[in-house]
Amino acid sequence: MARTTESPAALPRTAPIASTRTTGSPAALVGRLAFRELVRGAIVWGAVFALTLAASVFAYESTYGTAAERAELLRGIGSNSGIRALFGPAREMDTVAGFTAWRTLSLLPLVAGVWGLLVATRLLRGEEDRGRWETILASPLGRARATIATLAAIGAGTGVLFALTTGAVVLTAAVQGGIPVGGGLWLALALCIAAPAFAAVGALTAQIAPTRRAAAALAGAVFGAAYLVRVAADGSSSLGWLRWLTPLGWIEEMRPLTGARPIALLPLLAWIAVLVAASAWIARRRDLGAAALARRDDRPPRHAGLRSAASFSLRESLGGLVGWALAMALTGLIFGFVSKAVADLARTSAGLREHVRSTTSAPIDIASARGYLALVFIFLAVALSLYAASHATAAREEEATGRLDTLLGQPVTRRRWLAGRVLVAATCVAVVALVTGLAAWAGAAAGGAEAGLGDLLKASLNALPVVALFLGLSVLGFAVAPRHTGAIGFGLVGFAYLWEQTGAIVRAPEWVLSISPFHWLALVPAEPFDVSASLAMLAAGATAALVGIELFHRRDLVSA
Amino acid sequence: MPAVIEASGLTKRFGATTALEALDLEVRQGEVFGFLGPNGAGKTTTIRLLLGLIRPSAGSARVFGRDAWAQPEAIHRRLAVVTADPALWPQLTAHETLDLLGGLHGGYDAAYRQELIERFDLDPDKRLRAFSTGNRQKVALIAAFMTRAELLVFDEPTSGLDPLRKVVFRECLAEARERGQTVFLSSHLLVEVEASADRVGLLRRGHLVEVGTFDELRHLSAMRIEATFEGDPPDLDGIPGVEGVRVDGRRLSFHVHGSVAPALEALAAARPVRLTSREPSLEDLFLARYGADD
Ligand SMILES: Nc1ncnc2c1ncn2[C@@H]1O[C@H](COP(=O)(O)OP(=O)(O)OP(=O)(O)O)[C@@H](O)[C@H]1O
Ligand SMILES: [Mg+2]
Repeated sequence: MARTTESPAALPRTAPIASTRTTGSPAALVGRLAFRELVRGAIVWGAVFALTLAASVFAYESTYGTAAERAELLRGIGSNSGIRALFGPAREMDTVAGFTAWRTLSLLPLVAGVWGLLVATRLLRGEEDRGRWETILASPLGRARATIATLAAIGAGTGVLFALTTGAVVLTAAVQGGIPVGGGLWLALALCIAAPAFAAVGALTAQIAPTRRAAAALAGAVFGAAYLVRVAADGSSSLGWLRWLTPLGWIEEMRPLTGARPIALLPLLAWIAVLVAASAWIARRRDLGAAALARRDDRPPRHAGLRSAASFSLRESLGGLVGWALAMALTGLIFGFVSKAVADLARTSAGLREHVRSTTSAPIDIASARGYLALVFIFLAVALSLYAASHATAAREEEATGRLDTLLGQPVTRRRWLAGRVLVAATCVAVVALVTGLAAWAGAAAGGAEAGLGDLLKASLNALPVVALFLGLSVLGFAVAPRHTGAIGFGLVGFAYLWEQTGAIVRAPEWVLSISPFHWLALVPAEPFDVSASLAMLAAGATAALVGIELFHRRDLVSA
Repeated sequence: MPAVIEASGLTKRFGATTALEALDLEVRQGEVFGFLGPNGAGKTTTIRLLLGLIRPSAGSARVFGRDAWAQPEAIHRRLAVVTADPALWPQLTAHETLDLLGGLHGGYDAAYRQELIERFDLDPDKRLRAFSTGNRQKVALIAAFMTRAELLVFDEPTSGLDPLRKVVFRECLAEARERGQTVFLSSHLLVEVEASADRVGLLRRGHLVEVGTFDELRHLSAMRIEATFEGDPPDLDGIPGVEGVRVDGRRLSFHVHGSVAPALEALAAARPVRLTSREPSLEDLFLARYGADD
């Protein structure tokens, strides 16, 4: 060390700037800001994961009490390639651990993956679109480090998801037994790791796509491709090697609770590391706001949909309409295709039939393809309701950005504007429902199920009243609490769905179950259309929408 | 002249803050009314009330004789608005945006629109997302002027424009006025208001503190005089109307309210070598009004 021999006077120095590092480095600030944006969603999804886990453990114990029932379940599902393709390979189905792993792995990693890619594209490209990124980067924080700080926040969000899932595993294991704690942790990891894996995909597409929407669509396409590859790998024994190509396959190969394979974690970690590094690398090199896949910013005018406020709403909704129609058509096609296989399986397995009966609130018999499809259409109604709620959030977005000020500065009345949007939303939802029904019919026909076009169109029409109800409620939410439009719209759908699910599992009395509108759905095509329930829901939805339009007419416009 | 805008007792509260307090205002047909005030004074709030985007907490705003909150669409058919940071649709091109806004307004002067595009030097086939702030503002300005609406409402319409386009804006404003259009112009740019406004209103913390023609307001403010002397400057103590005396060596500067005769006599006696006097500009007015305690 240098000796300090000079006198203080010999050291000409500028006055030191008082250090005010109490709030942390810029990177930590950016990370914390991003974390605040996503933590609510992480908690909600953590609760969903926890409930799903607990539900499958308890349902297994109550449904497959005897060794004979369990052996039959193992035989039935193990031999059915359709089920294996859709839900992944079933191992050790004669244990609660094996069953829980199969049941949760079939769905939750998909949810985690979609959540991860949506959050990443929103926090990276979405914030850049809105110009907030520009403010952040004015601080002494490089583009690459800001990107990594945001991704670290998503990692922390995954931590919340993981903690809640783990909590559920540990608790149910303590209450019910049959699940070792170490294996339970590995299962929780397998369920949640799709979130960072696809957030990393979203981070990369956020660097190369020009808008949040495009980035999310591109990441969604990667996700869809990964899913289809996994379906192919699981559906045919000769293609099993495909499992080693995608994150969803690696997650399956982690094999939690059924002979865990730690090695499968390595490609996942490498995937995340490579994508994060690539995103940071591009972020450092590209201009702010620029994108490799940028569309041309010059083009001749397109005149359609500029005549009136309503036609403009339709024009603005078309992108979402196409995306939803494609995604729902694919879902309908797949479920339609496996409907016969599931029904065949259920015919030979009294246990599976009983299991479905114990986890749905309706007396449904899935031993026929129609019965199974009726069950599927409940899920499709949930998805369509989310789509309906997204139209209310789009209206809110128009208001929050100030563009509604611009529109209403023209001779456009508030009532007409919102009514137009509601009509456009209703039309879009109906179109997507019909497309879904058509696709499900095509799938069912290809799979050899005996369900006609009429059956499936009826099933999709049957879903519309409940969707209309949620559309009306989210419009009402937009009118009453504009800043919470999304929380209200999506929250009500999620709440109703969880209520229905949990209620069925704990065998709640009928009046409790009927609080959820999804419980009022008739099981079309297994059962006839329920005219009075449908009319009641339609009327309730229309009333909510009308009240919403009237209240909106009376309130101030509220900016972001 | 009939009143195009009438506000009486117009008040708006947001929770605990009172953004606008009992505004009484009349803007007559065919005049250009300048609306001035520091940040947060309530200018944007007033405009949003006039457009019926927010509801008055008390009082009322009438435009073309109709209540702004109750009948906005009838009013909006006859007016056009531009805000400081116009919120438009990033995915639309400028051409499409003009089509949309013109279509919603219910028609526009197509030839004038083309002329405006050229005068403002706008690239119509470019998407708004690729535009700078100033270019976005041009789109909004063209959309407003091309309607030839009876009333034009501007909220800091030129904050992003370069000096050349600001001149174009002023020309368009003059043309609008010649055609008999009424203009409500809120701005921080005093030169802009000074050049175009027939009357101005000064707003401060939600209160209208002054309204009048520019000349009327000028009398409220002091004339500024500067003089240089061969010897020591005279003592102006006790001379009526003199304020803010500053002595800098042999130079003297001060303000005079009212008649300048007594002050000039005192100066002449001390044999000035140079004398300059300046009429108060709007800026002086503004500073005199707000500078001291705001
Ligand atoms: N929606 C709102 N909610 C709460 N307070 C508001 C809202 N809108 C305006 N205010 C408050 O009202 C006051 C007046 O705001 P306004 O935007 O009208 O000012 P302004 O004169 O346009 O200012 P500037 O010159 O900065 O644009 C401010 O104190 C502002 O904080
Ligand atoms: Mg303002």
